[in-house]
Amino acid sequence: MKGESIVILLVEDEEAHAEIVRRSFKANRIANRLMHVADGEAALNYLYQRNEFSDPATSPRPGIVLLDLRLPKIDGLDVLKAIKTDPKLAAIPVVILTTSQAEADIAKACNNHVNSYLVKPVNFAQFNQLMEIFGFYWLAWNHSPY
Amino acid sequence: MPNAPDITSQLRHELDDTRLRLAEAEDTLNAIRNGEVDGLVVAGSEGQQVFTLQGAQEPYRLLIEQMTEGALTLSRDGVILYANQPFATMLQMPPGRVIGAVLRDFIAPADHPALADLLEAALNGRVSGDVSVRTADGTVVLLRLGLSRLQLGAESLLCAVATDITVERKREVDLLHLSDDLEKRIAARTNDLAASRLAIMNMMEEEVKARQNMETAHRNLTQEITVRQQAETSARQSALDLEKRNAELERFLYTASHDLKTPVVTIRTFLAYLEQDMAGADAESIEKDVRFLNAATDKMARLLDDLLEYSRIGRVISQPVRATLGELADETLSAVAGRIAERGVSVKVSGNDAALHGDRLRLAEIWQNLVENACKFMGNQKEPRIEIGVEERGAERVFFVRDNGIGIDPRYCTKIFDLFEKFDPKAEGTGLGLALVKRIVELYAGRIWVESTGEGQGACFYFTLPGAVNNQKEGEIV
Repeated sequence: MKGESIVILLVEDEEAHAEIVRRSFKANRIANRLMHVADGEAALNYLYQRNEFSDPATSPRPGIVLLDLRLPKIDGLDVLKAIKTDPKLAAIPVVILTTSQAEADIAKACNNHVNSYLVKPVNFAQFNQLMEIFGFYWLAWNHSPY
Repeated sequence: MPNAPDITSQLRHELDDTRLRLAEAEDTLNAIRNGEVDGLVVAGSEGQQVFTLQGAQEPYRLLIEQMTEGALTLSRDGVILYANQPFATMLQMPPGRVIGAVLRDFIAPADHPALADLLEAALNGRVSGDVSVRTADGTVVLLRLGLSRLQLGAESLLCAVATDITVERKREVDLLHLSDDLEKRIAARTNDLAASRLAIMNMMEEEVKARQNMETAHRNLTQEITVRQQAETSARQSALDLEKRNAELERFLYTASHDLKTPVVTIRTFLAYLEQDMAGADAESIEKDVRFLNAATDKMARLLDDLLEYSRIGRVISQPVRATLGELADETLSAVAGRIAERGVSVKVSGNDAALHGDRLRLAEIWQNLVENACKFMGNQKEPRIEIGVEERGAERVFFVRDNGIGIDPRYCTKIFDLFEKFDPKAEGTGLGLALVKRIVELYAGRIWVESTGEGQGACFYFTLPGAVNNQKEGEIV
């Protein structure tokens, strides 16, 4: 881990699910900054620091992206593709967090160089546990250029 | 060479000698004819020869007896004075019974008049005719009689030559029969030919028929092929349609399961939070949990309603009825009256008389969803307006619902019609409204698209309904 804690960009159109992620982080004492956007277009604007996300102070560059798949405007898979095909963004680990277990989605995500694919558990305890493991793995153990 | 006086005297001498000898001969002949002499001596190169009358007649008699024809001498009334052996043979009678008999007695009674005519005519010259003779053994012989007058001194006799023409006649008759037969055979052959001709004509006719049948069969086959090709094309089209429907269904199931799963995750999780917060008696958190729970259950209920609605399109078919755009607009405005009033939207309807023919409730749903959608995305517009109308673009009748709301980024103009596609994550609704509209429009073989110059510029939804418009036109003719 580097000096500054990793900033997490959560792309989630369901406010309730964003709330669940927030609460799970809090419950697992993951203190990293969690930036939340609700659609694909906003996600790309954030990553490219465009429009309302142009100020790095309020919109710091994320060290990891937690990405939902079905998103308004620009779909999660298209956001993933945009990140992984742009050399300036490609190194940012992208973790898919979705309700979809569809094989086609998993395959497309992997083909687009996703770093991890997680399915939202329908069970609260499992959701909580998944976020705990995510925090340990990606925020504590994993090494990335950021 | 002797001189001329010598020749003249010699010739005169010879002439005198010839004249003398001619006179002698004439005397002799007269003597014989008159019975004055019985014979005469003729000086010949082989010595003198005596010719008597008997001697003179003998060769004629032999000649007459040896000829094959019958020879007769008749008195003018037909009594046979003389008949040769061949004639007697013809009658199969001894010559003794023939000579002295009346010729007529041997002739078939039917020929008696002919015979009488012949005898009469013969006095004036040579004649001939055919008569039938009944022989002793009963057979009938056909004789040709050649008759001529024979003058002996003062007495007129008749001489006749009889020829048996039975065989000849029979041959003639046979020939006649033969010819008759031939004619019959020719006639038969002609008949045969006619029959053959008829048969050939029949055959030709049948061939023509067969050809016609073949042509008909060929035509039928061609038609059949066309029908099958059409069937194949339509089968292929059906397969394509089915494929499209399958893809749509797959997408429907995928998105439905995803969108249904989302509130389930929310509800289950927040129920757990609620338990925790209730244990901790954290009123603020409890309220928040309940709010999320309510939102999630509401969303789930709406989603289920919309899914049901969506799945019904194309299945529930009400009797098609005629409806004008004005009527459909009125229904729409009363259905969404609350929302319109709440947002203070002014609505303008034109083209009221444009007629449609179809499932009235389904058609109304198009305008209802579009007007609702327009209200939803009015943004901060201070004078919200919605315009419902119709315009003719070429041969196409294009309906529209125009608003002056927030508009749509051209990039998302296609995506917004997708199933469960939500343009705005904060906007209420399930993302099914426009997909539902699109599905109804497609049910009437139409297209739907949105035109917007960009965000804040308002939007105009255009759609065609050929299935409902053309139907109506047909209905008017009937």
